[in-house]
Amino acid sequence: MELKEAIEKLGGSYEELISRLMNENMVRKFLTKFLDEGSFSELKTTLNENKTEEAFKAAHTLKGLCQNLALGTLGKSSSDCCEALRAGDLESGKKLFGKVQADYIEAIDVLKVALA
Amino acid sequence: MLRRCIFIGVFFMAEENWNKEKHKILIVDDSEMNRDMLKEILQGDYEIEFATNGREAIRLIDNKQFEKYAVMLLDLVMPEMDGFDVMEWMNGKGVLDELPVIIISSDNSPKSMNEVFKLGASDYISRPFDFRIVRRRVSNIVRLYEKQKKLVDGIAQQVVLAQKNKNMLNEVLCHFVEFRNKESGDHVRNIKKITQVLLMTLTRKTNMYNLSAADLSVIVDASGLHDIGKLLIPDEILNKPGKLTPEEFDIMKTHSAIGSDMIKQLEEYKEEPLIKYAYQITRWHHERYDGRGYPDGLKGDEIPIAAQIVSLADVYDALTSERVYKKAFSKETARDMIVNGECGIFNPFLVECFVSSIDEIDAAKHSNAHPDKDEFVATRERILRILKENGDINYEELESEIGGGV
Repeated sequence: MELKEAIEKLGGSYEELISRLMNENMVRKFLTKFLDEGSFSELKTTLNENKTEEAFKAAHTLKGLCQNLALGTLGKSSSDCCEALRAGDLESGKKLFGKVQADYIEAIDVLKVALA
Repeated sequence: MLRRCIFIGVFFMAEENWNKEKHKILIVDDSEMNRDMLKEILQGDYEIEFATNGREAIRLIDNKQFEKYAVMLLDLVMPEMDGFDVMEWMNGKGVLDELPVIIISSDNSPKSMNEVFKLGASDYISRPFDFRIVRRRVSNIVRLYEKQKKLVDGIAQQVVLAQKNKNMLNEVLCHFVEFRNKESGDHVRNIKKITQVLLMTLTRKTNMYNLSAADLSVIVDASGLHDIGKLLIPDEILNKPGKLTPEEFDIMKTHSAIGSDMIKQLEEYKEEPLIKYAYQITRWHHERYDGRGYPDGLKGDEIPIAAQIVSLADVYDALTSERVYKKAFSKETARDMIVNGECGIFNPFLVECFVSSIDEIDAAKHSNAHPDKDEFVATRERILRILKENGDINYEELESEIGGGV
């Protein structure tokens, strides 16, 4: 799968992304880094431990990265989760995390193929 | 005039120096990937340092270390200490005047942006990052602050230079008397130092004389002119080795009226504070509080406070300095003589100020400190304070604060 196709599949605009990051090397470099980035697992762990504040921060970081990398679908679900946690609503946060996890797994799978 | 000098001189200087060395940027963000991305964007133009939370950032900029950085990029949501707390700390320490902050924001709502500016941020970078726009926003802020810094430094240098030239001229003038009067030594310089301490002590204790900081500095300058009338006293009296006859002493006493007449003839400057105080001081620095001084026999607070202070400083310095006809008295003896009225009667409140600051007076008289030292730093701080209080440069206030001559 081409990178352009992958980004579009994950809810973003490749043209917009490449224009912001200036070239394909940068896009590849940071998408590759994203595969090993820790905020998703931090979010999962802190939610399991019922640490609302920490979970909020992790969701916030994840949301920001998705914005930068044009990962629209995951960005949307992590933003919803982040807002629930910002309001201190741990239960809703956990519920919304289901969608985050599904979107994250898809994003990683798609990106791994495209970056290979 | 001031305005033109600044724009022509300083801005060109800033433009020329641009690009000569890499500015350092402090990136404060807990997310490694964000830090990497910002580094990628900025590393070509800047030297980059990182902090991963607010506490670390403060450790890096505390104790004046912020001067190393041209700008701080600050994330708001962070562990340990968040961006809001960092901004609050910087506001409290006045650091924001010298180190601009660009907030990295993931929330682009007008409400959130307003919050950020209210905190004192210079700008914000919102996600998603656009590499070119981030680079441009950072360079705009860096250049703006660089220009302001150069501007402030340039003004401070000009002010210090003008002040130094003014001081030099003032000293040359004051020392004319000393050049003729061979025994006075450091008398003029001492008078100025002692006058300064007495003025500080007096204004600390009371504001009944309505003396501003500008008045104090002008009075100190004017005090050096107190004996200028001696220029017209015949040499054989002024430098007579022995005791003066009553007739000679009467001639000697005319120096205060002569001095004030010399000052009075400067018609063009008669409204200037320096001239007003110089007139008071030359004419009345031999008056006494009980009316038994000369030339006019003024009594109590009929004698302007500047003249009262200089006359006390004059007597103290004469007592504690060696003369052809006497040894130097100790500061304790001199103090007791003044308190006991052996040198005429002074304002009791002024004597109280004198007694309470005798150690400071003694130290000032014997110090070799150069008055211009640290003047640049102090001037710079004064200018920054004006900039801060006004938000924008208020040229009228700036001019009145730093005095004319720039």
